[in-house]
Amino acid sequence: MDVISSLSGGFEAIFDPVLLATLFVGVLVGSVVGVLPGIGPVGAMAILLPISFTLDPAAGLIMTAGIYLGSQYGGSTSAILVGVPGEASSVVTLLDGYPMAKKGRAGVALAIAAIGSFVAGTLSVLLLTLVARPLSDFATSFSSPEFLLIALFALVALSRLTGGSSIRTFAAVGFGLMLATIGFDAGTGIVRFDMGLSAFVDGIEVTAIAVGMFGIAEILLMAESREDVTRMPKVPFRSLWPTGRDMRVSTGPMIRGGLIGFVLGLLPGPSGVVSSYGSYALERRIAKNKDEFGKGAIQGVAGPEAANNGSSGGAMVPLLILGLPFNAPTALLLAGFTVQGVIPGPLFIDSNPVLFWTLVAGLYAANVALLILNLPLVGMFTSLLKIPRDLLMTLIVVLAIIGTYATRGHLVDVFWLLSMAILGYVFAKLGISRVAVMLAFVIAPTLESSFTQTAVLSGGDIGFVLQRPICQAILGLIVVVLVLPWLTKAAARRRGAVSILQQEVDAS
Amino acid sequence: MSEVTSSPHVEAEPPAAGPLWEPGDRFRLGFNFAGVALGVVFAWQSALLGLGDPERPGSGLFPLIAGVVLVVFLLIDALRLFVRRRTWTPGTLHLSREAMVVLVAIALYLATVGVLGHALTASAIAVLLLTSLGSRPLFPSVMISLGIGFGSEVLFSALLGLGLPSGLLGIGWSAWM
Repeated sequence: MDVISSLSGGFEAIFDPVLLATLFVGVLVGSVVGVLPGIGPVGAMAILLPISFTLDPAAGLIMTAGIYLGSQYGGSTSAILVGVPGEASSVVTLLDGYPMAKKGRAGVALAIAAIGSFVAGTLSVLLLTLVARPLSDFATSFSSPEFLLIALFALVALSRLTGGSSIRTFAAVGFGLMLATIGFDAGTGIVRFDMGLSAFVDGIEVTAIAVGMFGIAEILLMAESREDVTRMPKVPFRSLWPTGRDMRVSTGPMIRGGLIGFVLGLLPGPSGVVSSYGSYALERRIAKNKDEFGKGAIQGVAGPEAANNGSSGGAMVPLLILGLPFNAPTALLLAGFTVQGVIPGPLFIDSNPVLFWTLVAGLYAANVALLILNLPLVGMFTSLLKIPRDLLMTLIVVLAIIGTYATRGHLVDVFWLLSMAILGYVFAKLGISRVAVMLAFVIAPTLESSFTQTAVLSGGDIGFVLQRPICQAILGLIVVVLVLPWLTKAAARRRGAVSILQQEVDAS
Repeated sequence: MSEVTSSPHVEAEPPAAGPLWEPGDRFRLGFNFAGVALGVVFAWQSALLGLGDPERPGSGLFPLIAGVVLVVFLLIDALRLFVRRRTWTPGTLHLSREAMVVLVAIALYLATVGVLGHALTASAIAVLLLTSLGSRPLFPSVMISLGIGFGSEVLFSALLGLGLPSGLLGIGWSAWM
C-alpha cells in the first residue's frame, strides 16, 4: 500500500504540464536521434544532456530518461525500414524486422516493436517499483567494503561479459580510471596530474568523454565509410495495425522479452544488446515456426524489442538504488543526477521520495509517450533519413561542441572532446571497449572513496572485508564472472569434440 | 513518402573516399607500447604524490593502481601479439580525408572561438564541413552555415539559456543583450 500511494504521488507530480512537456520532448528528441544511424543512445544523451541542466531536477532527469528510452526505440525504426540499425541493440531487430519490411509488412513490424517496447517497459517499471523498497532497505546495510566490491564486480563483469578481448577491456578500464584521477581530489584536497595548467584543475567532464568517444568517433567512422541511405519503403498509417493473429503470436515473446531484459539489465554491461540477443535465441528455440526466423518471423521483432526496452528498466535499479551505473546510458544519467545535485543510492528513496517516485512514474509515462508518438510519427522519422549526409554530420558536430562546452562553460572541455574523439576512433578501430573507459571513469570516484574508507575502517586488514557475508557473496560473484567464460568455452569445445567423435562412430 | 536512392545520375558526387584505415598488428603493438609508456609515467607520478600506508592510503595510491592495471594488461596484449608475430595482419594507412576534416573543424573551433565567438566560428566550421563532406556549391553552403551558426546561438543562448562564447569581437547573444 505504501508503494502504491508513493507511486500515485509520483503520477500526480508527473501530470504537471512542464514535466509532461519535457517528457514528450525528451522522448521525441531521443526517437529522432535514435533513428539516425551512428549516433546511438549514449552519443544522443551526451549531446543533449546539457540542455537538461537548464531545467529543474525532476524535469531535467525525466527529459534525460525520455531521451534514453526514445533513442532505444528509434534505433529499431531505421533497422526495420532500411536495414541499418540505429544503435547496437537494434541489430537483432534487423534480422527479422527488415525482411518483414521487404515483404510489405513494415508497418506491422514497427507497430509490434512499439507495442513490445511499451509492454516490456511497463513491466520493467512495475518490477522496479516492487523491488525498489526492499532492495533499498537491504542496500542501507551496505558500507564502503560492499560498495567497493560492487564497483569492482561491475568493472570485472563488464570486462568479461562484453565480448571481444577481455585483456583489452581491462586495459580500457585502467585507462578510464586514470582519466578520472586528473584534477582536484576531493578526498585529500590536492590537485593531481594537472601538468601545471589551471585548465586541468577541474578534471575532465564526463560529457566530453561520452560525446567524444561515442558521438564524434562515430561521425569519424561514418565520414570514412561514406555509407548512404538507400531505398525506403512507404509506410501508410493504416498499415500500422497488426492483425489479431500478429498480436497473439507476439504477446508471449513480449512478456518473456521484457522479463529477460529486466533481469539482464540488472547486470553490468551492454544489457540492451545482450538481452535482445538472449530473447531472440530463446524465441527461436521455442518457436514452432523456427524456419521463419531470419525471414520475417514476427517473434523475432517482438521479443528482442521488448527485451531491449525491458533492460532499460532493469538498468535503473542499480543506478537508483545503489548509485552505481552498470552501463553507458545510466552512467550518463548519473552525470545528470550529479549536476542536478541529486545523489542516487540506498538513501535516495527516503531522502528524496518525491523525486524518486516522480522519476519512476516518469519512466512509465515515457513508455506511454513512446507508443503515442512513435507510430503516428513514423513518417516524419523516416523522412529524417533523407537528410543529406553532409548536413547531418555538420549538425551533429556543431551540436556536440555546443553540448560539451555548455556543461561547464570551459573551452578546455572542447579540447577534451577532440582528444577523446581521436582516442575513440582509434579504440573503435583496435577493438578496445569505449564503454569500459566511460564506465570506469564514472565509477572511479565511488571506487576510490570506497577503497580509501575501507582501508581506514579495516586498518589495512583485508580480513575485515573477507569476513563480511555480503562481501563474500560479491567476491564469489566476481570469481564466477572471471571463470565463467572459460568454462563455457571449454564446455562448447567438449561438445564440439563429442559430436565429431559421434559422427565418426556413426559413419563407421 | 518519396524514396531515396543512391542514383548514379546525380551530378557532382563527392569523390570516393578510398579504402578505410585498418590498423594492422604492427600499429596495435606500437599503440600498446605507447600506452605502457603512458601508464608507467602515470604510475611514477602517482608514486610521487604519496602512497600513504595501508591504514590511510595517500592520494597517489589509487592512480598508481589504475596505471598498473593499464600497463599490465597492455603488456599481456602486446605479448600475445608478439607470440603470433608470424601471422600478423598487415594494416593500411589510408586516413580518410573526410574524417580529418571533422577533426580539423573541431580544432579550428577551439582555436578561434575565443576571438570570433560561437556564431561566427560555428558558421565557419560548418562551411568547412559542408564543402568537404558533400558536393554542395559554395554559396548555399555559406547560407546554410550562417543559419547553423547564428541559429544555434539563438536557440541555445537565447531560448535555452546556455552560455556560449561571444569572443573578443563580442558577437553573441549575451553581448547583444
